[in-house]
Amino acid sequence: MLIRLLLYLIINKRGPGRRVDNKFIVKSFDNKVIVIIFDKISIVMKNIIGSPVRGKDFYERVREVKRITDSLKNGNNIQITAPRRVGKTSVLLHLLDNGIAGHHYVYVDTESIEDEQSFYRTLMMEILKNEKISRSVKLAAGFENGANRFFRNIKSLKLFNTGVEFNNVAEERDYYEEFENFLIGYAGIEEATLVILIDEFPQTIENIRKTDEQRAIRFLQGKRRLRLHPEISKHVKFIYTGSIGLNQTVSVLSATATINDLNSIDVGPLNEKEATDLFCKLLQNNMRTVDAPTIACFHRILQWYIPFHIQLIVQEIVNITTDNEIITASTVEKALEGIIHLRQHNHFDHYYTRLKTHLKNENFAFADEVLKKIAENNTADKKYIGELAIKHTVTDKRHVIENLMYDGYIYFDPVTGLYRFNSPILQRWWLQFIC
Amino acid sequence: MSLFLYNPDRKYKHNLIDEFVIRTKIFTDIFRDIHSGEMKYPEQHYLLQGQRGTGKTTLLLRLKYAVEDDPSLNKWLIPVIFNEEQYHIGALSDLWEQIAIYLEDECGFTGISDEITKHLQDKYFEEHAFNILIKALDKQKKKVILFIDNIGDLLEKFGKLEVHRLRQILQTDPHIRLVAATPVILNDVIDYTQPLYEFFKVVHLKGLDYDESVMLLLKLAELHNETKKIERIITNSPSRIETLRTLSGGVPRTIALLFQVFVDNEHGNAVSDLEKVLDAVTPLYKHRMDDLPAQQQKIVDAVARNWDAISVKELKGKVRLESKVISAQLGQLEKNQVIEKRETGTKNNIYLLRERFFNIWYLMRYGRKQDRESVIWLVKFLETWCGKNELEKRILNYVAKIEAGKLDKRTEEFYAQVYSFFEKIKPEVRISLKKNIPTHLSQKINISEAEIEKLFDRYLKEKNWNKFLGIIEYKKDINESQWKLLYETYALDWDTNSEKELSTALSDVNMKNKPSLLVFELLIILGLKEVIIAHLYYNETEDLQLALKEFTDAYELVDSKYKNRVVFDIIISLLIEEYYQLAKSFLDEILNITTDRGIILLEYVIIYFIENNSEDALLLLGSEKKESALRIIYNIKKFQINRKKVQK
Repeated sequence: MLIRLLLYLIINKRGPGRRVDNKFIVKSFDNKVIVIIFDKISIVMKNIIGSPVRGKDFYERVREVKRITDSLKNGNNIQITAPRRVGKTSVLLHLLDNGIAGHHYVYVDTESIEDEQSFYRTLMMEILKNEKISRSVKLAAGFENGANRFFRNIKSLKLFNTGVEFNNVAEERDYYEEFENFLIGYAGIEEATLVILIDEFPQTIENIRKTDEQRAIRFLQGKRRLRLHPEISKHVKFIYTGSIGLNQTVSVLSATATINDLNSIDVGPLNEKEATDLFCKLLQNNMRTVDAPTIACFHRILQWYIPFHIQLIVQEIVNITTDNEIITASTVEKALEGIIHLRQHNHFDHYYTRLKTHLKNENFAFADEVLKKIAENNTADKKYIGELAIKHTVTDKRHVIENLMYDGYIYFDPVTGLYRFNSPILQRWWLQFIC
Repeated sequence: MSLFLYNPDRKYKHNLIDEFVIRTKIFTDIFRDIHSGEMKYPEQHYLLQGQRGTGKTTLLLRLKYAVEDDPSLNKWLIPVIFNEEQYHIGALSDLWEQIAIYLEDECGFTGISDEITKHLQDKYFEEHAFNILIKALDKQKKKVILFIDNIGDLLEKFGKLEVHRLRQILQTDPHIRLVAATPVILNDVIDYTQPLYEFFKVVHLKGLDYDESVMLLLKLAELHNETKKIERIITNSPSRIETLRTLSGGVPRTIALLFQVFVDNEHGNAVSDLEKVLDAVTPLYKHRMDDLPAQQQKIVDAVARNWDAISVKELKGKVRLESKVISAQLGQLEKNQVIEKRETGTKNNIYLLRERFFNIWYLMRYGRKQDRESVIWLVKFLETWCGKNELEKRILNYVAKIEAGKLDKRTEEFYAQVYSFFEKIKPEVRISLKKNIPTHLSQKINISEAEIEKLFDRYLKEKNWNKFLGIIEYKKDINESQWKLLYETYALDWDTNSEKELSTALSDVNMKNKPSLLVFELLIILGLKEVIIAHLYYNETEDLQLALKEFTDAYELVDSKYKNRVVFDIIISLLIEEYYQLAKSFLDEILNITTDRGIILLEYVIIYFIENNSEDALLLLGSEKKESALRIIYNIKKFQINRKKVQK
């Protein structure tokens, strides 16, 4: 139980020592009233693995959220980039759940969509799930009697008693056009910026591309057109992210120009203080406590603090210990062994599999050897990497190394001039299963 | 309990709850999470992974009942469970429909199914079905926790886009929470290109540890009224529990099936129980094999037939697949807990089936059917199940039953085949078995020369003539020192029955390695003694005299302090038969050769009888020797009286 002491100047004195309700104690003296609030809500967090984290279980990513809101303020549309499992979706949902900076946020997961029409239809439906929008008086007024010429053209939205709703009547319509009209209409009457958070957008492109590559390119072009529309762009912004890289997906189509207007914001790992805080809170929720040497061990073995790795370690610690147990450094070591065990192979296996999928022939052989070298020796210098590139007759060494860095395998330390694995856990796994 | 091993959903709720004694930590952890969740946002979804029989379905049901019974949860959270074989769900929309049907039937959500059906022809039917479902839930202020068993089957039926859609819903919509189960590692979950990659919190249901096995056994004991037996086993033979764990791989269903075999110590009953158990596990194990892709089935087949751990190189020869393919598949099989890897200290590991009982079943079902090989499954079972001592007891018990004529031919032949495989049991047990089973099987039982030597020396030392006679036929040669030992040991023993058999047995021994003269001649003397006794018995006086002469000749040649024991024996026998003069003449011949005091004493005894029991014959003896002489005389007279009674 956390006791927070709050000093209030309350005009209507409630009397000394009187309990206002179960959560408060009120005392007054010297014309001042002190209110003591008993906050039974725990500060601990659930260890949610796999799904995005929301509400009190979300660990504040202050830096990233500020960068996003600053970028939006500067009028940018954004793509959030980061390796897998860093927390991109959780950041988006945090924006949605908290209405950051007073914007209207709409979150859409479009991974199962395979055509343009369904895409825009889904966007429209999701927008109307936001009550601030669907019950907006201005919006309703725009729909009433066809007052707004853009809204007048939209057949898929209707004004009902409670507000604007999606019109499910089966009828052929062009949802792109309807969406465009809606956004123009919205931008014309609403002051709050509408921020549309599109998750798994690259997957949508992939789904469309599988049917028809040209359609996928046209789809991207259409999206760009909407983003850059002079009216829409004043009050509507788009943020994209996904499990697979947007740049990568688009470059397969040779359509990188269709996203060159997007500002890339990287979601990085937590810093040491944040990581420690998260670690402790997750353990606390599972009725475990840690001491200082354990924290030091945690720092030593993790170093690259992506929330997912922290979650995995906590999960394994919980599996191998009992309630109220004090976690020691050796428990953390044992947990580490557990998470790189064959049983958990798939958490890290994809790092290797992905390489084989995305890098071909000599590029793969080069990347493979670079990583094996760093895994075995902890570091590799530029000279060695250069030699390896020659050995494997790699023409675009920079591209391969940048890929490895971008996808979170390695980083370059400019002070020492050496490449290292970002994550000691990944390095240990690599050493055990790949080398 | 055994009635619902495959269908725990048919068990009464209170029984399932009462019998839920394992997996309690996992249950507590998951339920605690469910209990603390408000489902305001999407909550953690779970995937229970463990091979068939590890308790997934039971755990799902336990969680369902816990939600139903919790007063703070059951106000707003509705548990819906879909068991295996959801044949009527072929698409994602079917899933929503089935949930809607359940809500209508069980929770009073009237009209929801009809409303969904109205949109059947709509292009966006699945979307409508889902929206109607969540609208109905919102209206009633309820949420759903969905328990799906064998989710892999369901996902296979859904197209990839539908799986994306499912993920999208579970990730963004708080109305439905999923706790699923799977007997195999799902590619959907481990392949990073798949939508459900790393989506769930995966909980692995591993084999039970020792403490959990004990908990389960105690509960089974309670249900079968065998509590005392199990408590005794736990206290006195904890290693048997380890054996059960090894055999079953710690799989709860297999432990439950083996329970009756476990408590039953009787030879015949345990094995006949075993056959029933093997029958009972067939659906489980067959399913397990059917779950595997073709290449893995081939590899499991080869590993199972080998029984012992096998390397990748050896497997390559058997399954004709590339080594890297085999290694990759073994990795999958290991993750699925079908295969266990054993490290060898080199980079080449070896692999065997983790659940030994599964291996036994496999050999029984798919092993070679010719002759001895057809029983290999039982051999492996007994090898694992019984300690060496118990196995030997079983074999000796079996031999005793043969000797007593208590086994029919078929059973005798069957177990002879089984037991003929055991090489590591004591050689004396093997000999006993070898002597009593049909020749074509006894030939399979090998006793090494070193083992025969050991036994030969041991029985001789122990003067265990019965057992000594038992192994003598396997002894190829007797070396000089063994002869000497035999001669010296045997001469001290007065058991005449053994003597005769021993002589006969020894006469069959290969005399290639010629013993020394003195030992050999002892045997001659012993043999001659037999002849003398025979003549005495049949009152063949002339032959008797000749035999005594022959004996005296041989006696002169033999150099051992024990030969006089033989002389003593002969003279006593002569006196019993009242051949006093013959005894005297024989003794005189012997006294020409020896001055042994024991022999000299006999002279006085003989004179006593010649002079009609006159104690004057003993006058020259000191008191001590007189006493000895009188004792001998007394025993002779006793034998004479008994002999006369027998003759009458």
